[in-house]
Amino acid sequence: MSATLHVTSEITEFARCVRDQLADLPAEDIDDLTDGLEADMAEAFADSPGHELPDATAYALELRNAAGLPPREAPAKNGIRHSFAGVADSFRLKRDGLAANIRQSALGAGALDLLIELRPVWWVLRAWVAYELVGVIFGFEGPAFPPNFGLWVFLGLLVLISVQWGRHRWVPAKGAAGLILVGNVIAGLALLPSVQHAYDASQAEGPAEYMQRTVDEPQEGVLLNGKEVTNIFAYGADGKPVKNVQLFDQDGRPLATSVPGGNGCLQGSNCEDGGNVGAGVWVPSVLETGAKSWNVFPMQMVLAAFDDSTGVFGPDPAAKPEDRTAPFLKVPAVLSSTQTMQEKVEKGNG
Amino acid sequence: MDATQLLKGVLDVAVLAVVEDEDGYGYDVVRRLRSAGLDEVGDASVYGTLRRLYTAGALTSYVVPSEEGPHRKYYGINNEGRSMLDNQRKVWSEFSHTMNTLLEGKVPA
Repeated sequence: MSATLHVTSEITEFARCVRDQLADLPAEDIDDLTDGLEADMAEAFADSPGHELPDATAYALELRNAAGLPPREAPAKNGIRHSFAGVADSFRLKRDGLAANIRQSALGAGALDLLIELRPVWWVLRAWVAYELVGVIFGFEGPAFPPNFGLWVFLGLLVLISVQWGRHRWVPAKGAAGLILVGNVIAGLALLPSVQHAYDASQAEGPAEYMQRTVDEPQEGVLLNGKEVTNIFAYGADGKPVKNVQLFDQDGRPLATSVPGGNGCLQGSNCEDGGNVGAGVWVPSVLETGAKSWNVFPMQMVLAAFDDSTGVFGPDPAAKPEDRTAPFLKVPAVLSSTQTMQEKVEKGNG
Repeated sequence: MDATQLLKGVLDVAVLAVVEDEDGYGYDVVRRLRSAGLDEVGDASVYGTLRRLYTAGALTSYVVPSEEGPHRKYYGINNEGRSMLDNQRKVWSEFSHTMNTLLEGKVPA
């Protein structure tokens, strides 16, 4: 092998024509057949100067025959699929021509080889951009990383498909090559906005999480079957709701729920997904001593808002605390066990 | 007789034999075949054969970047290729023996 290969413009043009003759084949086949073609031709020329380039059409046919590939198909039919395939073929030819020109210099060839080695990084990146774009459509966009297991699986699936497509695997049809090209262009254009969006979302997430627990109150409260109890509704012996009930445990400690200092949903359920629409904060009662008390039930909630000047998410000064909806308007009245037994005794004596 | 036509039938085994000892890139394989006496072999036929053998699972392939110019796509034989080569060697040996016997007029009456 010669120390330095000189890929002439004739060789570049010849290689372009050969690829053009193979353009009806899948990209993978064309790459397999013509990868290194320029270098091989340049070396053949170096071996025998004055050697004339063969006819590109005959050369491509010989390649096909030897590789066991079918003869060239008729020109592309009409239809979107073929249009996309045509776009992809045309793009690939231009790309190959450009690559051959760049490879004429050692620096260009080195840079191009580095980029080729980095292709897997792009495959992962474009899957992430697709995840963000799907998120914009379905409303779960924002953080750079999925917030739950299901979305991690979804992102993993996208990465798998993207990598397989990058390896020319799982490509459903030749026409899909054009669609993948269009997808690549979209992913390329959306990459920076997606990074910016994810960065903004991560910045916004910090203060919001901080605000979840800002008050030095107990972090744990009443649990029912392992789940946090956020509010308690008391009903009197007559079965009617009772307000402002103070609850204590067996040791006289205030029986508080898990919500002191926290927020919840005052209206709808949008705020459960991290949105602020309809979000409220729990309101403690005030005792005659002036102390705030978190063991008075049912607890009320007040609409919350962001204070732009302080950056704090807290009670809206213009809003009034609201009662939470009780689970029952009325429950069955209490018939005490003592009373029941007494009645039985009286009936027995009578 | 046109040697080119004969070559088509044995190009697979010839290419496998060439890359058996040492991996090679497209033109390197062409050059080795020509050095071995197969002057008529066409580069495109060899490149196509390499690709077909690779697709058939008989060869491995990898790209070697070059500091001096365009990158090179190398091919190397794998176990399946060696098994294919051994089998084709036997077939060729028997076939050539038969033809030699026939052409030398030593066919049993």
